[in-house]
Amino acid sequence: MIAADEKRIAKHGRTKARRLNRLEYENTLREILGAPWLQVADRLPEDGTAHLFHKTGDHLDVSHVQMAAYLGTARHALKLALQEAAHPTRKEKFYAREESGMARNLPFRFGQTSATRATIPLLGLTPQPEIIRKNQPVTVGSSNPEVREKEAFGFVCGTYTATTKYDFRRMNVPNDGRYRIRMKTYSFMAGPNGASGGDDHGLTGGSKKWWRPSRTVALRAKRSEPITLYSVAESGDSRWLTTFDSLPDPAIIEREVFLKKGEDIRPDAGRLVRTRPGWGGNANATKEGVPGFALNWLEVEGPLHESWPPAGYRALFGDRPFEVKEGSVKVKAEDPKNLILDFMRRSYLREVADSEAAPFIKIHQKAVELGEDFTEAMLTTFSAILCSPDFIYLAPRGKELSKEDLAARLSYFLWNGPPDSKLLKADDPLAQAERLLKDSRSERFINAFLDSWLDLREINTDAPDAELYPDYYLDDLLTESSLRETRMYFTHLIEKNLPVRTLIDSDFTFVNERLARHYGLPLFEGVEPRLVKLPADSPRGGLLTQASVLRVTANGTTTSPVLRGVWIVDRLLGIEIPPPPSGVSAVEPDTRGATTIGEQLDLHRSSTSCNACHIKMDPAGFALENFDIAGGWRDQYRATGKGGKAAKGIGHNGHLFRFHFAQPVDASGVLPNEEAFRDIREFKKLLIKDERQLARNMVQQFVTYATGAPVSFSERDEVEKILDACQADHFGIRSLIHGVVRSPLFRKK
Amino acid sequence: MHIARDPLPRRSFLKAAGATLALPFLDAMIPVWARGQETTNETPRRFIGICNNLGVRPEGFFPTGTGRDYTLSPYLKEIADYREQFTVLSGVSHPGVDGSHSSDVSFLTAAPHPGGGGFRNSISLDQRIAMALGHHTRFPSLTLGVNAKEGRRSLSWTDSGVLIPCENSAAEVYRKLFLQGSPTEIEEQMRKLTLGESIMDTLADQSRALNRKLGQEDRERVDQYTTAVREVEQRMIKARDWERLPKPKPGRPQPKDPGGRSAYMEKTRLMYEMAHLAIATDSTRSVTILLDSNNSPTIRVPGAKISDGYHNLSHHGKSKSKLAQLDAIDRSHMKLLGKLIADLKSSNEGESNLLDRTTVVYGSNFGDANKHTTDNMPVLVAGGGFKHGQHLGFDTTNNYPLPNLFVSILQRMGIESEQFASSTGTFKGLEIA
Repeated sequence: MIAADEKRIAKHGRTKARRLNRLEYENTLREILGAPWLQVADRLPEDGTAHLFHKTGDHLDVSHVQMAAYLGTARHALKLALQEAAHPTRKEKFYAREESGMARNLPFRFGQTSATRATIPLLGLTPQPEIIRKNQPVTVGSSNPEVREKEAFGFVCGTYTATTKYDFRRMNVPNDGRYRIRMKTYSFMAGPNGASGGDDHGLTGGSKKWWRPSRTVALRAKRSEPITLYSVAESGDSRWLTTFDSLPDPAIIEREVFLKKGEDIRPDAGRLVRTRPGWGGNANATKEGVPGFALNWLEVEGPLHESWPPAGYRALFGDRPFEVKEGSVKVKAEDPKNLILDFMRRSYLREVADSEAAPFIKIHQKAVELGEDFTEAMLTTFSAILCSPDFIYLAPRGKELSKEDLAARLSYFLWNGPPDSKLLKADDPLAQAERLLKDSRSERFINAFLDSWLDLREINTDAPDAELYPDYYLDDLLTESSLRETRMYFTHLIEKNLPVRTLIDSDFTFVNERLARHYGLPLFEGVEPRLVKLPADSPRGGLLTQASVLRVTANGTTTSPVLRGVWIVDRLLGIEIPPPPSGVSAVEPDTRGATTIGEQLDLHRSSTSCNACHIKMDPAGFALENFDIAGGWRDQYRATGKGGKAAKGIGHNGHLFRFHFAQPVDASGVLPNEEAFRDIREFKKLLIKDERQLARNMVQQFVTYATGAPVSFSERDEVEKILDACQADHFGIRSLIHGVVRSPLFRKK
Repeated sequence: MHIARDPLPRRSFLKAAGATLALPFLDAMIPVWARGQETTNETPRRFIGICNNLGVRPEGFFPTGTGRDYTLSPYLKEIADYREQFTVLSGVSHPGVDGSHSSDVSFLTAAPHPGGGGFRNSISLDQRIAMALGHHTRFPSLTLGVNAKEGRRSLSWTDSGVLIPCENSAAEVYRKLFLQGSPTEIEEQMRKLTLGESIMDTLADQSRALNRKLGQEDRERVDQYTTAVREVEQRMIKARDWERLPKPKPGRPQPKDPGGRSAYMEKTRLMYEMAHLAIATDSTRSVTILLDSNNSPTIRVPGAKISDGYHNLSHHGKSKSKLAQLDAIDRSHMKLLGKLIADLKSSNEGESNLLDRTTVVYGSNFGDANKHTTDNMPVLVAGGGFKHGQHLGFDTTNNYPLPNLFVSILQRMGIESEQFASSTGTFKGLEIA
C-alpha cells in the first residue's frame, strides 16, 4: 500500500493545480494594485473546504458563477485603484451636535420616553436641558469656536441598531481607501434618579428610578469607557475597525483605518447597557450615578496617499499623465501595448513575451470599437487579465517545484498572498521564510489559518441565549475580545517560538478588562488586550480554555461534551473520529435542569459499539464541562423554569436574571489509557505529556494549509523527520513551520 | 390579480422608478440556462422551493392520521382553506444528509454529509429545472433569500456544486424583472454583452494554452475553467436576445425594502409576492427562496411579542415562554404560505390557474431545530398538477427518501428524469391530477 501511494505521488504529484481562494485573490489584487485597503473577498462565492482549509484543488471549483464574480470583482477593484487619483486627501470635521441621528433622542417623543435611551446635551460636565426643551439651539455653531469645542452629546447605553445608535452619518467617504480618523470623546457619569415619561422629557416629573440617568446632573467619570469603532455600509453591514478607551478628561484619539466608499463610522460604548424591551435596570448604575460616554466630534482625513499620483493609479498606468473628467480619472496615453505588457508582468509574476499581449490588445481594440474610451477599454483589458487562468491558477509544471513556484507556495502559505519582488529574485526562496514570518503580512496567514483550523470565523454563528445568558447576550465586546485573545496568543507563540505544549497550557494569556473579568483575573481598566501572567491555580492558559474556542464548540444555549470532545480530539490532537452511524439521534438539549448531560450520556457508555469512539472523545469534552457557552467558569449548570437557587443580577440587555442554578458540574473523567483527571487543570497536564503527538498534529495542519494536500500514509516518515529535528527545543511552533518549509513534502508538486 | 403583458414600455413610469442597469455579465443572479433540452410537455410548468432553515416545531406541524381523512395539525389549520391543494409529507428525509445547521444547502440538492470536511454539493432541483426549461424565459431561475448570509447560504447550486448567491432585496428583484432601461442604456448593455463575449472567447483560448502545458491530472481542473467561460458566454448571447424584448409590466409598483433584519416576516411576504409576480409574468419557471431564519435576530411578528433572537428561540430547551414565541412565528409563516398559495390559485392562465401549474415545495432541512436533527423533515407540496388533499405518512424511524419527490416533480414538469441524487424512484402516493 505504501508503495502504491508513493507511486501515485511520483506520477501525479501530491496536489493538483488549483485556483486562488477568495482571500488569496483579494490579497493578490491588493499587492498588484498597490491597494492594501481593498476589500473584495465578499464579492466572490464561498470556497470549497477540504481538510478544514480552502487550499485544495479538488475543492476549489470554477463555474460560470465564479467566473462572472471574478470579472465583476476585478473590474470593481481596478476602478477603485484608478479612482484613487480623483480624490486628493481631504480633511473634514463632523460635530456630534450636528448629527440628526444623535439629536433625535433629545426630546421625549412618541415611542421614546425612556431616560436610559435619551441623548444628554453636555457642555463639558454641564448638562444643557434647555436644548432638550428646544429653548436653545442645539449648537452655537461656528459663532463661538471655544464653546463649540466643548459641546458634546452624552449617552448611557450601547448601540442597538433598531433603537439606539450614535453613528456619524454625514461622512461622505468618496472612494475605498486608507483614512485617518480622529475622535474627541470623554467618559462621564450622569446623576442618579433620572425619570422616564412625564411631560417635561424627564427633566422634571416623570417616573424616577435610582438607576435611571438624570439629564440635569453630570459628574466627572470614575472610570474610562471602552469604545469600539465600526464602519457601517448603507446596507447596514458593519465592520470592526478599532477600539480605544474614552477617558474622564476629553481626549482625541487618532487611528488609521480602511474605509469603503459611502461608509459611516459607528462608535459603540460596549460596556454600557443595550436596552431591550422589558429592561428593568442597568448593571453599571450605582447610587452615585450612571456611567456614560460623550462624543464631541469626529475628523476624517483621506484618502491618504503615500505618493502622488497614488499607488493605485501608478499600478495601472505608471507615470503617464492623467486628467479628471466629471469625477472620472482619464489617462493620457495612446499605445495600449506597453501598458498591457507591464500589467501582465506584474500580475503573472514572471517574464511575459511580447506576443502574449496580442489577445489582450485585441480586447482593447474591440472595446474601443464598441465605444469605450481609452481608459475604460484599458480597465476592461486589465480585468480580463485578472480573470485569466494564468492569473487565478497556481499550477506548478514539474513534479518538483521550480524556484518561482516555491516562492509562490511560500508566500501563499505565510502571507496568504503573492510573493514580493525580493522573494521572487531570491536564489533560495525558502531561506526567506523567516523574513516572511516577521513581515506584517503574516497576520493574514495567522488569521486565515485560525479561522479555519479553530473555526474562529464561526464565533458569531450562535448568539448567547437571552434567557440563560443575559450577561453575555449582546455583549459584542466579549466576543471580539475573545477573538483577539486567540489571535494574539497564536501570534505570540510563533514569534517567541514557544513549545507546542503551550497550545494546551501556559502561565500567561492576552486579555483586556472585559476578558479579565470573564476569567476572574485581577481587574484592571482598558480595552486593549495585554499579556498577563496567570495565577498558579488558574484553569486558563492554552487554547482549550480560551473563550473563543469554548464559544465555537458550543451553541448559544447549551454545551455538549460529545461535540466539544470530538472537536478537541480532531483539531488539537489530530485524531479522526468517524461520524456517528445514521439513525443515532442526538441528545435532546433540555435546559429545564432536571438531568445533567453526564447522566444523559451514560447511555453511550453502555453500548460497546458506541463506546469505541466515545471513550476517545468524551473525556476531553467532560474536562471542559466547567466552562459555559462563552467560556465562563461554572460550578453549576444554568437552567430555566422553576426550582434551584435563583440567580441574581442584571443582564447586558438590562433584564433581571431569570435563570436558576441547577445540577453541579462534574468535570472528571478517564482517558482511554485509564489515566484519571479531576478537572481541566489535571486534564491539561495529562494532555501535554505527549508533546510529540501535539507537534505531529500541528505539522499535519501546516502541511495541509501550505500545500493543499494532507499528509498521506507513505509520507509519515517525512513528518517524523520534521519532528526529530524539532525535538530539541520541545517543538517550538516557529521551528515546526520552518521544518515544514524545509521538508521535501513542501517542494513536491 | 391582473397582470398586463403590454409590450410597450412607458418611459415616464420607468423614469420615475429610477431604472438603472448593471453589467449583465457581472450579475450572478442569473444562473445557467438551458442546454436547450426539449421537453415533452407544452403546458408551462413551474417550481417554487422554499426552505426555512430553522424549521418548524414538529408538534405543531405534523398532522395525525394519514391518507385523505387525516386531521389537520394546529399549524395546518392556518391554511385549512387550501386543504385540497396540498399534500403533507412526514417520515421523509434526504438519505445521509446530516450536519446540523449546514444542512440547508442540501435541501434541494440532497447531497450527503454537508457538515463533513470533504463535502461537495451537487446540482439543486431548481437548477436542474432551469437547465431544461430556462431557455423559455428571461431568467432561467431566480435565487431569492430573506436575510440570507451573503455568499454563504443558498438553496441553489450549479451542476459543479458552486453556490449561487441569494438576492435578498425585493426591490432589486422587481427591478431586474420589470424595469426597462432607456434605449441608450439598452444599447450600452448590448455593447457590453458583445464585449463580454469577446473577453470570454480570449479567456477560453488562454485556458487551452495553459492546459497544453499541464499534466493530465491538472487538466481536468482547468477544463472546468474552460467550461465556465463557455457558459458565461452562452449566457451573454442569450441575455442579448432578451435585451431586445421589452420587459413585462406587473400590476404593482416597485416595493420598498423594509430596513433591518428584524423585518424578516415583512421581507418574507414581499419575497413571496415577487415569486408570484415572476411566475405570473412568465419571467422564470424556477424559483428558490431561502428563509435564513438562522441568520435573523429578534424578529418582528404581527400581533406577537418576540423578545429573543430567532436562532435562540429554536434552541428552546423546552422553555415555555420560548415555545410560545416560536409558535407565533411558525403560525405567521403558515399564513404567509397560505397567501402565496391563494395568489397563485387566483391567477388564471388559459383554462387553468398558476397554482395548478406551479409545484410549491415548502419545508425545512431541520426535522427538529432544538435537537438539530435532519431526519423527519417537515415538507408540504402544493399545486403543480398533483392529486392533493392528503397526508403521506412514512416511517419516522426509517425515513422514506425525499429525493423521490424531486424525481416526481421533474417528470410532472415534462423533464425526462429517472433519478435525482439518492432517489430510489418516484414518490410513492403522489399521483398526477
